[in-house]
Amino acid sequence: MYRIFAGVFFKECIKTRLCMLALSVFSLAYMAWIWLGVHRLFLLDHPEIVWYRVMDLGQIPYAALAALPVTCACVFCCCQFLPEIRDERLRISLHLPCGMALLMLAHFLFGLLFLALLYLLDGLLLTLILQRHFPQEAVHMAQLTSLPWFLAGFFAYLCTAHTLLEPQHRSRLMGLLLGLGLCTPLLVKTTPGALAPALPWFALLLPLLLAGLLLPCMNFRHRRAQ
Amino acid sequence: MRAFASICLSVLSVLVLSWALPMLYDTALLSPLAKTHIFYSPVLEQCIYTEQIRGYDQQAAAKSEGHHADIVYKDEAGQYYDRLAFEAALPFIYYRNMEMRGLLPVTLRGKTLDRAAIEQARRVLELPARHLDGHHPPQPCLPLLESDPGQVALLYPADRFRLTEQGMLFTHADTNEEETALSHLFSTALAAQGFAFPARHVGGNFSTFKPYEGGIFMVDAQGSLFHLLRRNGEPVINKIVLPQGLVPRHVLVSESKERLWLGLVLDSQNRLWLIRQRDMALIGLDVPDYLPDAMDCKLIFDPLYLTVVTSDKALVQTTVFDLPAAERKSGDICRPFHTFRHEMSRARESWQSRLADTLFPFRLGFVQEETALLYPHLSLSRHWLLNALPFCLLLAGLWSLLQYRQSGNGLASWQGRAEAALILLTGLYGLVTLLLLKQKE
Repeated sequence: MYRIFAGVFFKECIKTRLCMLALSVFSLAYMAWIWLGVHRLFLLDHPEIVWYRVMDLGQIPYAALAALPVTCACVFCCCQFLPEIRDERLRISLHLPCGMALLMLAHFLFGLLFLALLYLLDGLLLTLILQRHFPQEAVHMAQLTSLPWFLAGFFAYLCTAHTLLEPQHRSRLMGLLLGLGLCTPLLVKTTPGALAPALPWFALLLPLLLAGLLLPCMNFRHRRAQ
Repeated sequence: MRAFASICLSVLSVLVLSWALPMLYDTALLSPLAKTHIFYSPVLEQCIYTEQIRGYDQQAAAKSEGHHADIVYKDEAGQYYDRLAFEAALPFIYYRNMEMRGLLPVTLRGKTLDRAAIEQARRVLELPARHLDGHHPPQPCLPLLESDPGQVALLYPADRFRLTEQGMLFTHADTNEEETALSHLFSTALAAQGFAFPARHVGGNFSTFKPYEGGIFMVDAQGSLFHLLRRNGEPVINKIVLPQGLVPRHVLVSESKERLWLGLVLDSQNRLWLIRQRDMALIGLDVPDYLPDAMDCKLIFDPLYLTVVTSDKALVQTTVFDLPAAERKSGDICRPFHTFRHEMSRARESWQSRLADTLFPFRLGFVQEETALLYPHLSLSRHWLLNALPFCLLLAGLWSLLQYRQSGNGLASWQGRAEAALILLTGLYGLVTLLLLKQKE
């Protein structure tokens, strides 16, 4: 099992290194843009007024961050799976005598691991940006507010993988349905921190979705196509 | 493995559809109705209300004269009113319209009241369930306004405080660092008055849009209530003498020009207490069947009465008191002279709600009126046994028949039985899931 994981991780690293680099640079640039937005608030108004708006009125100066995790997840998933699906390489790999489930699990875990590291970087940068201007409570609230957006990124990655791997058009709709249905409640605009109690329940669905992804993988392997 | 993966995807799909389909249905067909607006009429000496209805009410339509026939004006005896008669029954609410129509001053219970007298006495205090601690994301870093800013308008302070185990700690907004001298000044002053850190609850009106700064109330770790005012940068602390058995849970502060009542205390036994501004005396209100965690509460003061309106999702209750006399002692409890309960129009069934209860055996939701926090919760159809279950049975039967005609395997195979069971339990959600998951052979 270790060898399979090591092999797949090495292969995926080589294959997606440019995409990973591009997404990391894009994330850094995006976070710099968010920093500019936050910084500008303090240029335009006195700090206590900015605090009032953010902490009492519930304005979210880093709201643009909501789109970043889902975008990165979808782009990375396409970069990871599309070339191998198009060239039928993945189908050949799935016939290797090492267990299809384990092999695909290694692929998905690689993607989730990269996204987790990317989101960790984004979260860290968000904390650093806000820590300079806001008290600890506001920073903590921002972390709670952005956590659902990162979780939506993981769901978006797995649902995009479902849609790409599933050969039958009708069943691809299931990937889209799950993607929309799982990401929308996490991305919808709410009171800052209001989604925090629901997050453990959403997190429970992640392994369920990961296990469910074996179905489109099997369909892909056995060419259950249109 | 295929079966296991299918089950995982089916569970997810059913959960997603049980949220998405009812939400889309409600968006298309079931507009949400606001809560009923209910008042005590000093003219009729009974409660009178207005509410939006679904469907058609002939008497309401006749009173509406063809305009906004879905708005009903009724009193507690069931008599219908038109809009003008409704406003005339509530001179303390619609006093500006009354004045324009030349109906002021009005004489009620031997008192002649003009616009100035009504404006002076009128005020509203609102305590929605979602404002209570635990019903919204916590905000422990708060501003303490200066009560004597040396000008007419109040100023927003450049620092904020938090009440921790170490004391009352101030952070300055310019530097984002703790102000040790100010923190020490306030913490020492509070400790000298017997304040036990940390605070259980802080209540205040943290806004500059008010006539004056009335300070904040803090419930300490032992349940004692303290009033804190910032005057010329110094703390002015007052430990409130609580009536026997009163443990404060939430304090609502609302400063008004009349400076008679500073706010409201909700105690651990769900009782309401008015805070008298002059001496911080607490005057109790006996409001029956009030459950603050599930109900919104509104207090309407007018020149003659105090009306407490409590409402949950379906029922609204009005409790009417004579205006508490200024000389009442702290700890006195006012008894109501009139109460009225009414099932709001939003709780009544319509063909749209009955259809929804038939189509959807259950629904997954996140939003609840009584809390700003989003929790996932499943709710069963109100007519599950009579409507939803037969509909699910019909769908399951049709699905099995279709499978039998297509492949000759209806309920004979374990897969067919499992699919039928899924549709029987989840109705449309299961059907859509199977339609999407079913592979062409």
